[in-house]
Amino acid sequence: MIRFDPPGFLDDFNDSQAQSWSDWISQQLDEARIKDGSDLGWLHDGPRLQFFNPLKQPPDANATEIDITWTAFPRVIKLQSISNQDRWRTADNSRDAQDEYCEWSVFREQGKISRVTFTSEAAEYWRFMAAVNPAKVLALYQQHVNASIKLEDLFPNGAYEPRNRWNHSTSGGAMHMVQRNNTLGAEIELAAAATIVRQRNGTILTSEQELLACGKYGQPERNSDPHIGTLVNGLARKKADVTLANPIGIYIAGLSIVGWKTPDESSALDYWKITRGTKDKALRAEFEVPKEKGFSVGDISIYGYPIEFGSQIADFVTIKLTGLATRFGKSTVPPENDCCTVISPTPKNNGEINVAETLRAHPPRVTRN
Amino acid sequence: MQNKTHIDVFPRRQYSYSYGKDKFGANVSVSNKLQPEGIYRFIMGRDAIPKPLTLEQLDNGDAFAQLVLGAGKFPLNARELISILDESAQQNPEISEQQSFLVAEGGHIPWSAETADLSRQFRLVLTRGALGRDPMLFVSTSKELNSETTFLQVVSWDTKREMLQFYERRDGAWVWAGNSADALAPDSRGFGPFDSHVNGVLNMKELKFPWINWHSEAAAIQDTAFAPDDPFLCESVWKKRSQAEEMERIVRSGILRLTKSRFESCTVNGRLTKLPEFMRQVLQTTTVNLVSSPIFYENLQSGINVLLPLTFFMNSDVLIDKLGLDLKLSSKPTVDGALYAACLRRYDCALTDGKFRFSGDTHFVFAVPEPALEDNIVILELLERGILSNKMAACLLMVDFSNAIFSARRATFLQYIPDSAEIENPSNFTNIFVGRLETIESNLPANAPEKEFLANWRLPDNVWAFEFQTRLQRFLQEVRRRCGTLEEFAPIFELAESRRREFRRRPLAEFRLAIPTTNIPDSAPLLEFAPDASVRPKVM
Repeated sequence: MIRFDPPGFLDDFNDSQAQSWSDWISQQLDEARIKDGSDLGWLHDGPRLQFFNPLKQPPDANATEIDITWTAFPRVIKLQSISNQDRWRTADNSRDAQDEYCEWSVFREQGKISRVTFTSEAAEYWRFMAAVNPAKVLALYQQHVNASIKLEDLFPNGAYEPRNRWNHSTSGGAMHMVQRNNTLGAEIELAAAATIVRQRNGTILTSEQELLACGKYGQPERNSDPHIGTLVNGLARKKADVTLANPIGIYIAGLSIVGWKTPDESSALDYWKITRGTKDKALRAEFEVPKEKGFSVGDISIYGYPIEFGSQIADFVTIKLTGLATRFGKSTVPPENDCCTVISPTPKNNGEINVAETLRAHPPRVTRN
Repeated sequence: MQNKTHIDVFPRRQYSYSYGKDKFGANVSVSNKLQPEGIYRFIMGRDAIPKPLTLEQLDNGDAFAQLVLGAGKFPLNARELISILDESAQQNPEISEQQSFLVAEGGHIPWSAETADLSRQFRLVLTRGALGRDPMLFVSTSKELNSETTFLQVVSWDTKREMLQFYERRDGAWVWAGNSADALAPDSRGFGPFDSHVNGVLNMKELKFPWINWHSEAAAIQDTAFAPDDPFLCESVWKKRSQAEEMERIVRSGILRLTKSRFESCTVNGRLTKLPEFMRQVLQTTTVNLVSSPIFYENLQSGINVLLPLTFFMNSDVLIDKLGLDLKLSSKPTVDGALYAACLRRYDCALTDGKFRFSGDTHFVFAVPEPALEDNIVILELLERGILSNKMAACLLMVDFSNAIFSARRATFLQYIPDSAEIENPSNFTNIFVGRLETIESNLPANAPEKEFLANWRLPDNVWAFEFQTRLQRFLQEVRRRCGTLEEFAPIFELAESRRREFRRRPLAEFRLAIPTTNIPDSAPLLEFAPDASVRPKVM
């Protein structure tokens, strides 16, 4: 591997831009590896020496990839809601509520759902693209959200606004994720922090919650973070070196449709289209019934309940990241005896990365075609 | 390294053929009379002995009968079965996709030399189907894929009869143990596979989040639960294991599919026949699911809110999610982690398999039985098909609503259910049922469940929903108040244990590690909620 591919093997970049993106990802991995938290007032949070940059330490030929999957519907809402209607309505009401590395937006015609778009694209990628090719950003918005979008809608003060008027709500469209914890940086930080094997009183920690509580990565209320942390840590406990598989990203793993019923008995999967990324590395998907079918999404039922919320579909959408482990049994990094400790009130970086600043500090490398 | 793998035994997974009479008094036979590579019919409770079957006599239209036995294949273990299915899938796309799921009551207890002999009870569920379709075939077995003696059971969807067929491998032979209809037939009900597949449908006890005991997104079963040299860790069914959230989707859909088929087959000339069989799933507790708090035992501490499952307090799946009663509550009942932990100590809570004992609670705390999905889906279909009106369903469930399971008061109504009722005409059932109650009303004591129902029923159509919402809200508000102190929460904890005792008495309770034990004796009086959220000994 000579460089990191863009998420989902997207071809939005020219070669030079793609190289710059790879450089940026490489830099994030390096920083996540050497980070020890001291700049934020944290102890026992690194370095994460079992986390590696595959460009600098190529994996062995027998490296193993493992998909880590979870449900797109936000667990925290599921836990707190009294009824299904409540939880579906709550999750459909705000992108800020959609915190499982997947956000969606619902389109209705005469009150009935006609289309739901799902995205797992991180804002960093779009900030990056906005910095290097604003016209491409506009073209993609026009292609995927609304043909009438203007450049000034996306760059209101000359700078790209991720939460612009076409990408901030659950009804006007969704181009990429905007919930503050749904970032690529969060994914990298979580994966890196979770590679620290921890022990307490000589016993290696293995369960979701004790690892999360000790490592202080991610948020315990989510489906994603504890699960990612546990499975990544499980690889590290095998004395392996661990990283995220190329291309690094958060992906829509699939839609399960058992229990779905369409009016004409056709398969609901016929109406699920991956619109960005590849089948295996899907970043954007749309659920929409073609007009010629004579029915719409709202006429499809799940376990007998008609689809009235995008959230009902999110219950069946699976999100994933892919870990990569290599050199099993060879790591000599000793377990950490202490839990991550706060010695100052500075909040831990949740992965929100300012790409523009990063680009200024590390200008994209220009490669010759 | 020497293999220290503990071999689990599954006493209830292989029905006891060999002791003359089983615990229900059914005729049973000696298993070693089965001939290897034979096919037998043995519907327990009906057949005195396994009867040899020819392929022609085994007239089942399911994938296992057609593609495995029908093809002259007699797999002796799970590995052979998987291999046969893989081979067959090349020509039969309806079984091309395999998913594997793992469940174990001790699956979240790390393996160590000291716990090597713990009965973790790993079970593997394999599904075979076409992409995006309900699976056609389910295999249940242990992690000993090469074993010819561990349980190996198959449940397979019969496309001809639109019901499930049940099989098991025994002594090198395959035994057809009946189908979904046999689960409901008086002679075979509760026997053989129908001791856990009570209504002949798919069974996933821990159906809902956090899927306690399953490998899931909420709690992974990791390789740390196995001996380091356990060969199962090299199996693809382990490496490619799917998570319980997908199994939940499959089971929900499978139960709905079979229930709809059952309704169709019982609909004759615009009437739903065998109505008492359907209504017992509304009025009795034919079976249960297990649900728990999402809070991990190890996280119990002051300041942690232990969310208690709403279905412990009422049948919210029907009353709220289906009938739309709109409770103005901001959250579910919770109890402080430290207070809950104090209860665990007070009642000496522990998990034990008989040999090992771990003080504390299950991996996710407060595991309790709840109304079974398979019973609730029957209610939904009765509503869907216009047998029951929303008001009728609500009025029935609001009798003794705070005891969503094991309610003798609601079970009383079964005697008044007509044999059949018109579909698309709820007033037909209503007129008969209410008429029968009104006929005897004057002779009943004031606290009779019939009078409670009639009082509900006589609420005006524009009032009943509001009135029921108010009752439920008032009840939950009182529950929340009682969850504030140890002395007032302790009776609720005792009620949870009482319901677990009732669950333990059922064949569904196969594994000791599934729910905790306490110092409350098995002989203690069973408890129930009173309408004011106090806890009292069960009364009628």
